[in-house]
Amino acid sequence: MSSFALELLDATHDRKGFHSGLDAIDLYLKETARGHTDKGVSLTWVLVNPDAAPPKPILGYFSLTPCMVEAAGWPHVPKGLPRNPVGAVLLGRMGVAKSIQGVGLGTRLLALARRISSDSLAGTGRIGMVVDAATVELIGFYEKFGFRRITPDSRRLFLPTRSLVQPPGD
Amino acid sequence: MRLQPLIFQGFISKGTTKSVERHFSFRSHFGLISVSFHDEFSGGLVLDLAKRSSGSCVSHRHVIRIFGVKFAPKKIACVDFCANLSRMKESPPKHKGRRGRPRTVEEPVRISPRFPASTAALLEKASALRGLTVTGFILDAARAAAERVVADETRWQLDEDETKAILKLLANPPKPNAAARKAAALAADVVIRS
Repeated sequence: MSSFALELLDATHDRKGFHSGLDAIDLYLKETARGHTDKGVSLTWVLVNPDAAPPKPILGYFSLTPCMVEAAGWPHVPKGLPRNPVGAVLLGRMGVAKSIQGVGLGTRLLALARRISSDSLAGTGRIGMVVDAATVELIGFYEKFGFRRITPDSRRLFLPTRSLVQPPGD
Repeated sequence: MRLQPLIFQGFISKGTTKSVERHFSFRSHFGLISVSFHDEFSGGLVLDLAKRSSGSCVSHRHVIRIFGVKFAPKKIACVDFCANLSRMKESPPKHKGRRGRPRTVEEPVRISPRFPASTAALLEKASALRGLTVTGFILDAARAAAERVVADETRWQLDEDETKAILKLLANPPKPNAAARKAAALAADVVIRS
């Protein structure tokens, strides 16, 4: 018996009952996530209890969006990235219900996002995972797991595909 | 071909609209009409109304109401629509011996958001400067904002420093650290159902 289940957001989940303490995170789940998931714009995965009955309370969620990374066309930029945009995956939003924060659900969610992304990232030649930390305070959370800030004044972090994939035997 | 002013009230029958963002067609009592919106044309809103199935086009000024939004050409700098008017008649739809109930038409919907007076005045001034109706101005601005949001979400344009930083990371990917391995172990028993 597992402790949690991760499911794609659908009508059986109680979106309105989710409160993370951050309005932007709650609002996205309430108003945008379903449409995006149905249309395939981005996928929202929700963490629930495996035996919860609909409407299933949402313990936490994250959304994954394919995104394009476009290198600067500066003449003196070292070679390495092609001129054309290259693919990556964006961990756009992540949130944990306020009532159960502090017990490691965020850690689990991030690990799950990596697990889900790593296969497709490695298999389709995407360069890595981009994360937008919801607040400045959360930057440290992602850095703890290896994500690197790209510029000091931005909340955007990055982790290359090769760092996402667990080397065998580890 | 004689041109006649035409008040088009946009009888849109249910189920015939194709709401592809900037191009759609609908059935009116003039027949099937396809409409495409262009922005960024001399700073104004240009409306092309072309009747399908007819090759010849003429330009004229008209009042058009589509989806409850009234496009008043007087106020719009360059409304220009092409339509074969000779075939269009202002008569109401005929039900040629059709039995049963007459086809129901969907009433246009009007939404009227409330703005603070100062904002409304600003909107009016700005739209006048652009030669647009307030509605046209709001639609334009809202669409531009929406497109920007979508682009921001799915496209990351790196500047020079960011490109260097990304390249450095790609050349030297950090190994999963202890915290990442621990997190993976913690989440190992979570079932993924999809």
